[in-house]
Amino acid sequence: MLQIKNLNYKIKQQIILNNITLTFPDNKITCIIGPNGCGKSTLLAHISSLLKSSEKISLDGIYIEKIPARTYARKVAILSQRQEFSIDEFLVSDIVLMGRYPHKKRFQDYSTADIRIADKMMLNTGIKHLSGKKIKTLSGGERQRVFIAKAMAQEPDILLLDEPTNHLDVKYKLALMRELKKFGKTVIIVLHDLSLAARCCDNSIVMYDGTIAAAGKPTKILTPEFLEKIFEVPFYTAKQNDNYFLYY
Amino acid sequence: MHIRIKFFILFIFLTFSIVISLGFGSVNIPSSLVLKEILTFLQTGHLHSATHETILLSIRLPRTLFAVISGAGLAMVGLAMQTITRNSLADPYILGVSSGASAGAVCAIILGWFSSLGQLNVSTGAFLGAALSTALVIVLVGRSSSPIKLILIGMGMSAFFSALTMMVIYSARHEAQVRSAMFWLLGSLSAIQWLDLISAAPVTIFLGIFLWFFRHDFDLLLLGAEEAGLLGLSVKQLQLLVITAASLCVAVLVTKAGLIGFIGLISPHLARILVGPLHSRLIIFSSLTGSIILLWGDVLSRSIFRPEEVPIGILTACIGAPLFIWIICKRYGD
Repeated sequence: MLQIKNLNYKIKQQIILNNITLTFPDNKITCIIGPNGCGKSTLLAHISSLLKSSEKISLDGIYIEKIPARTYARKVAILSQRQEFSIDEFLVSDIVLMGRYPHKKRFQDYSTADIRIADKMMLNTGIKHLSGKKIKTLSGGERQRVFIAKAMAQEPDILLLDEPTNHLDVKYKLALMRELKKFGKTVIIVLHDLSLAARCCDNSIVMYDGTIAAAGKPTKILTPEFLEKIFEVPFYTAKQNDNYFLYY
Repeated sequence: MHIRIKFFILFIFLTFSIVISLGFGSVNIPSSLVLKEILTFLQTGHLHSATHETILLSIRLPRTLFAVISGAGLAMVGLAMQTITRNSLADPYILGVSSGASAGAVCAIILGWFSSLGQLNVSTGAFLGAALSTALVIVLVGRSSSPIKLILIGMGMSAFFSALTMMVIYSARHEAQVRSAMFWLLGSLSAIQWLDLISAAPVTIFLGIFLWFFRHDFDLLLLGAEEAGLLGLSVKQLQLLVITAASLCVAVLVTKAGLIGFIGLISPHLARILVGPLHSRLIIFSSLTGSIILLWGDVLSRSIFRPEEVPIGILTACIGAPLFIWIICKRYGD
């Protein structure tokens, strides 16, 4: 179980995260929503261990900075928003296979099991047909799916996704959410699409100005009145076939 | 074309080049004669003519083998530097190893440092200069793993040691000293003997094995330092290890042959065109292309103004620069 206790973070004098305390239930999809600059990505960066958090975050009772990087990479994977120009010439399958790096024996090649897992993740994310293509020939949405496949190939207990639905069309957005559910692990996902959050996540966290404004079941807390306060625009809801929709 | 076939073709071409190139030089020996002498040597352990024995075995063979080794070494170091700085313009000298070595060498040639070591004075000066500049870069970069900082510190270091080199050259009293300093700065394999291979060969082979161990880690590095770190790679540690091993190799090669430019820059690019971005292949193909280019560069250096020699650094730049521009136009063409 992932637990955060009294996490604070500031850059110079500006407070980015203000006394965050959270528990993420195992094997559930938790979305983080909130306006731009409220600290969502910073929170994810702390959980991913990119930003140091001195004894504020623990995984199964162990402070995360005590876990060696390689071991941690087997437990937690992140899909970041930044991608480098230097990988343009790599094939899709090369990149997805890199997700197996933390599981690989040092100095050795990737095993056939690693290759099989990478293949399976490409199949699950719908990019199997692209596996022999160069990264530079892909569209934004295809690239995004490559990196999602890579993160899944890490076979982590916790998958962190920072706006994974960027560049994805409606079909792949829904397919991704289905895939995440099937993945069956703890997923923490930053979403801007509130309707998607309400429909597909087990648990939701609303952040505002570096604090947790609300946390709980999406259909309970994502009410038009509450969201209007957070995002400063009016919201409407609709219900169809047990699905909860949000409009603005 | 399959990678194995490409490897086979390059390997055969290199072997063939080694044999053919032995014939070229201030005294030309026809290839048929070279082949015949090799066959005799394989059967009897001696050559037909004593002159050929001196020219081929004592002068050209060590030199040719050194060209093969240092071509491979410089190419691998270039590849490693391009990857750890994530900059396709990086070459083996980007962190200032070469200017450190030059400063040390000219101090030995012109100021007479290390003269108690006799003939080893220039190599000692060059090696110490290279070691000093590398150590300074490592200390100044500190704990940062930013490739930009690495390159910029390297540039600063280069500028400083180059200025020092020029100052020492300017202070020279005899024209002969300037000429011999310039000859060293431009690189030459003319003084290579069997003895030089004893240090150059193991160091280069060691570097090759070392880089091979980290082939997948290098691939990962191209995702960016942050991302590689989150996958469990210790970026800083790898950077330090590579800088140390690569600089050691360059220091040894430069010490023997002076500054040979462009091989380390273009060979990795050529290899990328041949086999793509995976380092398991790039390490091998960069070495092969580096060896071939340097080998033929050296043949030209001893043939075009026969019996005079042209410093090989001038030739590698003459061939390398247009080739480099061609590669860049090809890769970044629309």
